[in-house]
Amino acid sequence: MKRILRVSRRSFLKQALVAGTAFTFVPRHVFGAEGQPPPSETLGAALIGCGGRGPGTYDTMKKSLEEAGFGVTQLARCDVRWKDTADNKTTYTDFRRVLERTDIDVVAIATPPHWHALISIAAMEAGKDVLCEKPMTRFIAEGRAVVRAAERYGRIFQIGTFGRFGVSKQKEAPLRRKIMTSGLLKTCPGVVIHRGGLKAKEWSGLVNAKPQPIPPNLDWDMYCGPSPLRPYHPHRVGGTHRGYWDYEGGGLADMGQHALDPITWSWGKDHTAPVEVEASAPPAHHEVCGMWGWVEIKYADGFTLVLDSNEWGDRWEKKRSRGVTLEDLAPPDREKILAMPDPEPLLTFGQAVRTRKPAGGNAEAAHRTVTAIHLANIAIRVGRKIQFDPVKEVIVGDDEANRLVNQPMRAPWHL
Amino acid sequence: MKITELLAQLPPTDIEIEVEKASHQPPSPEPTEPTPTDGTTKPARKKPAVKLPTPELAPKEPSKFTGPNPALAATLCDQVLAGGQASLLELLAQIRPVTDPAYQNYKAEYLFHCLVVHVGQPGKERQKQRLAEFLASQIGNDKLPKPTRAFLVRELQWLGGRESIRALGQLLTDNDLCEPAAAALLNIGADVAPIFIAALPRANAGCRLILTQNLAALGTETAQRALRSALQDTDATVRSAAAWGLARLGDESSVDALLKMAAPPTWLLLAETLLAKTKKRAAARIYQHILATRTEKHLQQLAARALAVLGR
Repeated sequence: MKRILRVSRRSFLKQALVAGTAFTFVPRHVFGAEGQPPPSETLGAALIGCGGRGPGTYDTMKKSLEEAGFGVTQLARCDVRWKDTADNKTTYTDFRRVLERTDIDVVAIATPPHWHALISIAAMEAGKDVLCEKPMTRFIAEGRAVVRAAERYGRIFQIGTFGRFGVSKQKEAPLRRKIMTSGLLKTCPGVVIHRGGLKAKEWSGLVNAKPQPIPPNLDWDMYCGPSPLRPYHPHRVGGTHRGYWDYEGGGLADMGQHALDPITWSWGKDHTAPVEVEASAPPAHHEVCGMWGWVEIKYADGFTLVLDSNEWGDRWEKKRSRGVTLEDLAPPDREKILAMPDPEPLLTFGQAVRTRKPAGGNAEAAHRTVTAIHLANIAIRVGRKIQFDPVKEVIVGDDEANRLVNQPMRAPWHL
Repeated sequence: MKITELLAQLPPTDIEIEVEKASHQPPSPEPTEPTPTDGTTKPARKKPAVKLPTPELAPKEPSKFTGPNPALAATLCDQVLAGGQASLLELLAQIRPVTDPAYQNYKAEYLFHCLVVHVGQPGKERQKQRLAEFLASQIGNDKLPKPTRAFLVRELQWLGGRESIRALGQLLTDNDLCEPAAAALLNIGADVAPIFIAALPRANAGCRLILTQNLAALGTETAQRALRSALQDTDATVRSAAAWGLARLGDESSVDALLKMAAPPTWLLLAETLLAKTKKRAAARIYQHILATRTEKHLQQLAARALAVLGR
């Protein structure tokens, strides 16, 4: 990838005079040592959000790029906890300063999710490719804005969960995807039940938590960002942020995108969203995420997806799991499916950066997956069944629930 | 039934449950340090004893929220609503900021939120209206602590309607309440632009930013004039929010001003909204400006692509 350097005429002349080498042209390959990618193939990289999953997310991005033949040099790290130590050269507290750098080509984002959309969009506006931790967003409208930014600026976006890459290499899932995307199955009898592992209790928030002094190294205003500026409490940061609606959406939001990523791919739901969602849960708290039992997510074709926390109330037992096979089709249609080419192999982040084609976990697919999760949380929060229009991306006939689809952001932040 | 009796029916938090369990068990013996058996001198790690709050402190301790059975919550909500305004006032009086020495626990605030969600159900429109009117009547109540008023305003983000517009509008110049009030008005949507516009001259820079941004987010033509004026604001963040709003509206008369003061994302938004209004010439000017002034490859490509589509 060729890097674009933005240098003003004045600063260029100044630097050139200092170096005493003005107007000396050096062929690009001269800088590439033997066996190393030439400079144009070495990408400048940054990590934004360095706690928790941060280093792991960065390593995933680096490995993927290296496997695609790129060299990767980490040039910047950014975290709001470094207010007292950031040098604004390699360490930062404000992601905007990182994105201003023209020598950075790729960005790994591992902040809490209330920042994912805004930083992803800002990075793509600045011409960077993005690998962003899951969940992709905090609410549905953010996801559509990320999709638009990726399209507008022609950037690569990959979500930081990779379950679909695994199932796409299995035998059954690609066949199921072919059946589901063929349009030959008019009504889908499929039922998928994902039970447990969704950390409802583990990622619940604290009530009765008294505000505490803000640590001197933490830029709390920047941490809160587009979310309301609440009094500080340590449980709101450092992983346990997952338990607060302001930043994420409990274990369901945190683990849900993992759970659904392979399902939405293999059941052909990358370009649509559920039409009806119902939940079983105690009435939700207004600030903290709490317990829930199950959510039943239905798509327009009849496909039913159930997430059962196995931690509260009765289990979901309305139906049994059921797959979809060729037997669900008429014999001539089976032949058509078998004659269809297999799905295109999913591109890793590195391959997508190399080819400029969408990554396997691209913005649209990730947005559609996390939309199902957000709808599940909305159903929990309003305590009633909701209907969703996957084209307009609004909740139908429930103004109160619809207010959670596109939530106001604290100025100056906006989508 | 008194509100305090209703609140007592809400389930305990996880710490309260643990305290309750511990109070029925004999105290466990102090763990003794095991002697190393492998010949090393390194002492085995001592397992820390779990410290639980005392029963009288437990309800005030930070604790994971568990929540009641939905049927119980619905019954409690119906009982509060049956008591009318008197019950609502009684419940409101129980809501205290967590820093208040009289703070009991999260339950009063939680039950109030349960009410808000409860009346949002289909078929409860009348109750919803009454609760919204009650909230609107209390958000300006100076006798209530500011955090409690902020909580009530945030509840109006959920269910506020036309009945709340005036009361919310009065908070738009209050430094502490401006942000949640503006968010609630934004959610109400229709007809709130004049409320934002009327508050602008009286607001300080912080509130002006919030008002301008929410006016911009409304995306209504009636905001156009105020947003154009805000381009001259002394505060740079206000000017930036106004530019974003005018770009969202596809305001052709602002093209020159935005090309001078705003950044490429705002230009591109403006170009796209102009195109949606079939104002191709104005949009083309923006793309040509990008080609002429920006060196970034992705912006150059984007502008060139757009101009090609426009046949220029």
